[in-house]
Order: sequence, then structure tokens, then C-alpha cells
Amino acid sequence: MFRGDSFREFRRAFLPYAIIGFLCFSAGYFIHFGREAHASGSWNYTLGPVDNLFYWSCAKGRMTVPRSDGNPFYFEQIGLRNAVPYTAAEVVGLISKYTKIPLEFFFPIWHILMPFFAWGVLVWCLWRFWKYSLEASMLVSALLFCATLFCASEWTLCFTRFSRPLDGLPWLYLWISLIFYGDGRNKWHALMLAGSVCCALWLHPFYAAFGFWITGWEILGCLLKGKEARTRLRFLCFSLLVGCIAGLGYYFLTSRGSDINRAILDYINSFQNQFPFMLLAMGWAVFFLIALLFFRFFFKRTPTVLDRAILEGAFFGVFMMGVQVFVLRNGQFADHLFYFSMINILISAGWVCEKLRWLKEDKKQVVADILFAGMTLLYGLVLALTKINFFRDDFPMPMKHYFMIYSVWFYYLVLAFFVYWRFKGFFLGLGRFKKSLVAGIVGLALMGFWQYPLNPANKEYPFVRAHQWLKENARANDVVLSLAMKYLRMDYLFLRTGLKSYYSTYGDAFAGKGEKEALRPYLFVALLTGTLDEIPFLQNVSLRDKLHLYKLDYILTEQTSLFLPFVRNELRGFLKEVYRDEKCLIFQVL
Amino acid sequence: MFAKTSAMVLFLLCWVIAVACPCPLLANEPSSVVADQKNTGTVTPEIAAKYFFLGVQRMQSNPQQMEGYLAACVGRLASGDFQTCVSLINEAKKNGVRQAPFLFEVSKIFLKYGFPPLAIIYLESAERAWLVEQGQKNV
Repeated sequence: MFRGDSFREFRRAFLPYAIIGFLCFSAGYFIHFGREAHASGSWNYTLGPVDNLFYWSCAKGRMTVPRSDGNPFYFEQIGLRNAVPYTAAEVVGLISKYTKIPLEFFFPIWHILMPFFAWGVLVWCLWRFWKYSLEASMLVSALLFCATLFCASEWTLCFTRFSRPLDGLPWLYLWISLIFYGDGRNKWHALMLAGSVCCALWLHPFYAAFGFWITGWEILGCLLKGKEARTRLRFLCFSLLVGCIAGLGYYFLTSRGSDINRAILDYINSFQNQFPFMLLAMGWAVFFLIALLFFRFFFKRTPTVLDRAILEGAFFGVFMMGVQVFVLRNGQFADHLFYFSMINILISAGWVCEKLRWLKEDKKQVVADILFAGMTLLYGLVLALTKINFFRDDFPMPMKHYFMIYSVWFYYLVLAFFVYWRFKGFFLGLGRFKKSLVAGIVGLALMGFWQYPLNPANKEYPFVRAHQWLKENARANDVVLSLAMKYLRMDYLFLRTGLKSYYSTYGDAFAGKGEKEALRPYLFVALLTGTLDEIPFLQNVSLRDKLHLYKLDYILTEQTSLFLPFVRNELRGFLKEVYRDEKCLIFQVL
Repeated sequence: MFAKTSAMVLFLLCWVIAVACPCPLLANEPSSVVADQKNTGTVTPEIAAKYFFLGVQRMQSNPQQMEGYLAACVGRLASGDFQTCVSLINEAKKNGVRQAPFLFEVSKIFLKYGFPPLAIIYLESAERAWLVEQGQKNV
């Protein structure tokens, strides 16, 4: 692995592209987040719409004493940690805490270095283990990353969200690559395997489920082969053993203690009936099974590593959907299958290229033409009948996972290479990387960053200066009620000031539905609508007591808020104006 | 030999996990707090029906005023039927009822009858409609 020649070759060939890649990721960061900052009015208010704010708040919650990453938003849940840890967020928080480097500093670091690192690992694996040329590996990985920038909703998270699923991608791909191509006698391979298994598992056990699934099937294959696969069997068993030890450590560390917040486990539920999507997953797997048999019997080709990999990946989808439909109905396994989309795309793109090469070798290019025409027709028909744009429209998650794989590898990868192959020669033989191709990919990436949708909640964010005032004047852990429903989800309060919210979407999700918390939404709506006196089961409680059933110190509002007149009217005598700027007001609650 | 040893160690680990550790994912207690707080008992079925029919009459006579829809909503919610109520709200939107004040009142009704999550959703909609009415674009 680290023989001098290959490492020197990697460094010599990869370094120029690594520099270009790094500059590209850096430029992308400034293009996208610069636009966000321009829209919001501050570089501190640029987070994306789906869960970024929660993960960064978790990181900050890990820095506080006592820790409050279990629910960083609510005062009542200070001191709690999560049942399933957000490992990457916690690690960033701890590094920030002990190095005294401000958490904000890690935002650009993450968004530039993490995709760069993941891309580098993908290139390395494709080149060293899957044996593609270095140029082709870089091209495929770069195109894959570019593709995510042009896709809709969750899929874009593969690239832009802190921290999942990008944090697990390099480790999981390294793990899978070593499972298929690792050398059992190479100590570096063993070391990398152990590291990738531990990292994937500790970052999220769900990542590891995919790795263990593939490992399990490969072990079964080795057992069937008998003595000839003994070295590989030892290697695979080693990864399983490391995984189990790491898993046991993870389990004992995360499941013990009285400070665990299990509320999110009550909160999560699947979004819809998943049974039709299980059928879709089965259809996907059966398609590859039929393709395998087709090549086995009509072309006399023995199954390859890519055949096994694609089948195992496809049946993992079936397995997860089965778990979702029949066992843990309230899990969100199916909704998070997109965590593995990138790996599945890489495997399936390689699989398609391999089959194209076979067809070319057997002088059966016409079959490829028919297949491509058929697939295009099928895709066009589905598109026309459903009127769904698979890249832009939001539709149920597991379905999206499969269509995204299909769309991405068909349009971005396979078609590009197919055209290249037909007109220029097969891409595996792509010799020198052409400057025009590099320029094209860089242009595509920069265009992707430029057109990437902004978070509407950040636009002209009204509380930038108010947050600064609160940071300077409020006491630690004071609670602020924000009279703006549109910022319930994008509640930057804790992240930017360290103060707690009276009510927020994420706070509510992690607060649970127990006796203690059931009253909070009642009080929140009643406060905003001026109907505190009308809460049916609190008729005998005084207004002052209702106001302080949960800790409440400040009310933050835009000057033009719909709710301000109602709140002012109802809480006359309890409010003291302490801050005012051209956009908003802060009242202290007496 | 190594594979066999690994398999034995794995088996022991699995046994330890299965026997010694209760799974935290399965340790959630169901909660019925929200259900207990439904406030459908304060209006009798007769009064609820009366509210509903009066509301429907008002909707038919003046489909662009919100009062009829609100009364019909109260009637249905008092009987615990929030799905019809949601249909009535959509009907009001189709008939051109001014959305911001209407949704604001709907939210209050949902709260009163014990559906705070729905109250929050409609309060968000009310604010969005209000911002549109005010001509703000970031909604």
C-alpha cells in the first residue's frame, strides 16, 4: 500500500489535482455561504435549512458546563445527553472547548476540508483498491460531488450538511473497499480497516450497519469457497471482531447513566406507509439479479466483485425496508437510506461500465445501445406520467434514494462516459487528464455552488443585533421567547448567544411528550394569541404563575410582528422594554 | 483457527449484549398526556351540532366571511372530528376568506379544543399569510 513508488506516484499525479480541488471547495464555500451571508446580513447566519442548526447547536451544547447537547435549546433540559450521540458534532464541540478556538472557526473548516477529505479518500480507494486509473477516479468522484449540488432537498445534504452523512462517507467507503480488495497479509490494510470500522461505527451505528451487511455476505462467500479463501476470511473476521468490540464500547459508553435524553426516540416516526417502497427496493434488487443471470448465461461471464457489491447494496435496501415495515415501524431507516446513495452510485456506475466493457469486448455494442434506449424511454415515461422532476421535486424519501441513484449514475456518470467511450474510447483507458475536462468540472462545481438554493429563513435575518445585545446583557441560561413563527426552526438563539428558547421546533422534538413538557405548546400558542386566560385546565392559575410555569426572562420580537399587539395587551404590567433597533424589540419579563 | 476463535468471541459478545444490556431503543414509555388534555367534554353533542349547522348556514349565505367557517369548525372539533375541520379550513381558502385573521382564529380554536400541534401549524400559516398581506417577501 505504502510502497515508495506508488506513494510517490500518487503524490506526483494527485497533488496538482488536490490543489485544484482544495481551491474549488474553498471557492465553493465562499460563493455559497457568501451569498447566504449577503442575504442574511451576517456571516453568522448562513446555515442551511435541514438540521444544520441543530447539529451546530449540539456542538455548542457539548461545550457548556454542564453539557446540554441532549437538548441544547431548553433550560429545563440542561445536563442531558442524547441516547444516540451526534459524535462528529460532539467532537467539534469538545475540540473547540479545550482548544479555546471559537466554534464559528470550525464552520469554514468543516465545509471546505471535510468534502475535500472525503473526495480524496474516494479517489484513493477507487485508484488503489478498485484499480481504476487515477484520472478516472478523480473524474468520477468530482462528478459525483458536483451532482449532489444540482439535486433536490435531502440529497444535497450529502455535501452541504454538518455533519451527516458526509462525516461517515470516507470511512464507510474505505471499509467497503478494503472488504473487497484488502490484502489480509498487509498490516497497513488491517490498520486502515480497523480504523475505518471504528470511525464509521462511532460516528453513527447506522453507517456501520451497511458495512457489517457487506462484511457478513462476504464472509459467507468465503466460507462457501473453503480453504482457498482462508486468508481473506481471517481478514473479514478481523473487521467483524473489531466492529463488535467498538460497538460494545460504544454501547456501554452511550447507554449507561441517568443523564440520557431519550425523547427523540419518542419523537421520530416514519413519514408514511413504506410498504410500496419496500416493493421498489425489491424491484431494484431483482433487476440486478436478473442482469447478473443474463450475463452469466448469455455471455458466459462469472460474477465479479462489482456484481457482488451491487447485489449486496441493493439487498441492504430491501433488508432496511423490511426492518422498517415489519419490525421497527417508527424507525427512520428507510428515510435515511440516502446516507448510502453515494457509495451505491459509485458501485453501480462501475458496474455499468464493466458491463459496457464486456459488451464491447464481445462485439455486442448494439445490446448496450438497446439497453440505453430502453432505460431512457423508461425514465422518460416515468417522468412524463408522474410529472416529477427527480432532481428538483420533493417526494418520498426511499423512492428518492432509488431514483436519485438511477438518475445520477445514468445522467451524470454513465451517460457521460458512454458518450466518451463511443466517441473517444473507454474511460478506463483515459490516459492523460485533459485540461479542458478539469476546467469543465471546476466550472460545473462553481456553477453548482452558485445556483445552490439559499435558505429563505436567513433572508434579512432581523435578530442579528438583538442577539448581540442579549449576548452582552442577559445572564447565562436566561430564556427568551421569540414572537416569530417563521424562525421556529431556524432558531439561532442558542448557537449565537448561549441563551435558551421558550419554544422552538428542535427544542420541542428533543423535549419529549411527557407530563412535564405537554403544557409548553399550550402556553406558547396561548401567549402568542393572547389567550393565556382561556387555557381550559389552568383556569384557576394566576396570570403571573402561568407566565412563569416555564422559565421566561425575555421576549424578542420584530417590530411588525403579528403577535406583538396581543402579547402587549395581555401582559401589560409584566413587560419592560430593554432594547430597540429599527427591526426588533426586546422586552424583559418581570 | 483464527476464524473459529473470532466466531467464538463474537458469539460471547453477542450474548453479553443480548443478556446483560437492556436495549435503550426499546425503553420508551408511551405517553397519553396530550390525549388526556383534549377538551371535548365542555360542549354537549347537541350544542356542537347546533354550532356546526349554524356555521354551515352562515357559510352558504356569506361564503367570504370567516364566522361561518369558525362556527362550523367549533362544532366539529367539539365532537373530536378535526379532519372535517381541516376540510372546512381549506374550503374557506378556496372561497377567498381573508387568510391571516381567519387562520389566527382557527389556531385559537384548535388550542381550545386540545390540539396544540395543529394550533402551532395554523399559527405559522397565519403569520405567513399576514406577511404576504404586508408585502414581505421572505416568508
